[in-house]
Amino acid sequence: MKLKRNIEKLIRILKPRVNTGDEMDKMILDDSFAAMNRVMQVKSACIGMHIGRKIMRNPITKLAAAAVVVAGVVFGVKVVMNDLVRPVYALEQTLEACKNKQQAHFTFVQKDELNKAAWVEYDADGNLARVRVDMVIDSNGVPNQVIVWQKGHTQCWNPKRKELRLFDDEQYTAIILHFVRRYDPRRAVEYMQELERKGDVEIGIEQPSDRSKPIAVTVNYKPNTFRVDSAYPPMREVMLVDQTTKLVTAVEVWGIGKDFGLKEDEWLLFGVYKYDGYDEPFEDGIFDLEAEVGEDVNIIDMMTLDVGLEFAEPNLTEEQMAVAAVRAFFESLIAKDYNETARLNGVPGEMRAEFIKGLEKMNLNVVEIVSIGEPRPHSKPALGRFLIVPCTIAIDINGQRVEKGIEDISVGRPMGHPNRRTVEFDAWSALVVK
Amino acid sequence: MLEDRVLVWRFNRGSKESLRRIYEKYKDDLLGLAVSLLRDRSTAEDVVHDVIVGFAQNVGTFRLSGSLKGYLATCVANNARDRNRLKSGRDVGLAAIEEIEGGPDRPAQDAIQQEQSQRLEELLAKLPYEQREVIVLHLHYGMRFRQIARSTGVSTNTIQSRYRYGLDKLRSLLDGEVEK
Repeated sequence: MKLKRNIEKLIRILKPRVNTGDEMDKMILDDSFAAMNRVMQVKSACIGMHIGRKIMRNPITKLAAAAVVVAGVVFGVKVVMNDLVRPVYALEQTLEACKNKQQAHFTFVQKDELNKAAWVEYDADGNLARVRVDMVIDSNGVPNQVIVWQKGHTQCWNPKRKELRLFDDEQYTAIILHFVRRYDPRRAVEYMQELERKGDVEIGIEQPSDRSKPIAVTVNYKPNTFRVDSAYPPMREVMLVDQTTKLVTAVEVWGIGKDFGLKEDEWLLFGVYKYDGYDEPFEDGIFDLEAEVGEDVNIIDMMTLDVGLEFAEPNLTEEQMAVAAVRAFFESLIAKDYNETARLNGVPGEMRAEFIKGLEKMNLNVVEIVSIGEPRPHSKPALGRFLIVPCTIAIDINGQRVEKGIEDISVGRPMGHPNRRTVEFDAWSALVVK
Repeated sequence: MLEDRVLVWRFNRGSKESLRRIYEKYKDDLLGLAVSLLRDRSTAEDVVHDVIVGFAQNVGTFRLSGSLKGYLATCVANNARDRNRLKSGRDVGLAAIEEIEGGPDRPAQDAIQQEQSQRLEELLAKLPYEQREVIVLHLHYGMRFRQIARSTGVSTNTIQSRYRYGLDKLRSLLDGEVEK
């Protein structure tokens, strides 16, 4: 009782006490100091260039500077000659180096921790045959999702929810092919060159004279060119190439600006794709998820699932379909047809009973759709293929009509069903009648 | 606070010791905020790491307007919000809510407060992310609704609505507890 009456005051004073650990502190400080060093080194190099320009403007120092250059030429001839005979790198050299590779394995590392791992295999004709991607791997080595794609058939495993979803989806295949094209070196160089021809990216190459250091190929992506399936802010990738083998060893991924919670002109290193070996044999069964997931897993064949609102008419825009789906969703709530609500919410048949029970406990009483606003793309790049559909609905609270504005509702396409749309809704508490 | 301004001034001149002191001063608060928002300690640690390393990359150019603690808390909230949305698992349905790890041992006189704090945290975990975020930022970290609205990109009215609905939900959850 006491807790309930003074809830705001108590939330203030009962702030949880959480302490960092020594290991966490050390890692953060080590990485932060390294970041400071990198920034300060770049600044110091730029200052050197500025100083050089400053010197040259001064007529007195120009003569002295010229003398230094001459001395450098005389004493540095041997070094310069060595540089002149060294061949200059071109992207085609990497293409040539990996053209016969049948397999590639790479990992995506964030702050020295594994985040994603991928295995890519080609057939004898050089076409993509199989791909496996383990995504968002936690500190215990358990991924959030595992995707296996084999010639258009996709298996998607969620270990924590113990669900294996199966689907054939052309748009998802395009996403997988695009991912491989971007990060498999055999395809990535061709892809970069194609984008450059279209004007979507700018490519710069830096080849250090120290051959132990990698060649850096910097690719700056203009807005909305980084992914095929959603809008994206400007991005940057830096591909590191071994000077001897001409094979890609790593790709750094950088983001910029407010869309990633940064300042307008601030870049942040998101992570690094590291290439762990070319043509090293994969472990047996790596592409066989049904054998790997075990027995205690809910297998959902998306192709047979009856979810979402189906559109027979092919000429509707995404926005029109989104509005129709949201309208159908709230109409099902008004009619208290919770089976239909579940279906539109994308809930598989075997999970509906529990979902419906949950809705019945909430004591919902939606009475009217007041208005449905203009759909807009989701603001976060990773969810760009969903449309947010803001709307206002009315609920009845003990005979009193109350209008509620809803922002947390979006519409997307369920995998395997290009003509259907499901509704993602997170604001159930807004509809609860007290 | 003057001490923060001096630390920032020294940090901008390359003082790692100043960065260390800034981190030591706010690390527990920032981790607490991230844990409250994300309900997962491991991810919360990643958030704090990203924010501090991101801050370190501003060496020489960082301009403090307002409170350093507020700035860092906003960075944590923005980062946590992005992670929450990336992890929402929309392709395959509702995301699971993960448990917070147990905290360190506490003195006997804190037992009641600890129990109430734990209960409130369990109830906060049941709120939608957006409501929990507003409540935690406003009541634990003193951020104004206007500031929260600016950092989330929605209107102040929406933030206030989320705050009200979140408190209403907490009260109704407490009703449920009392009726048991």
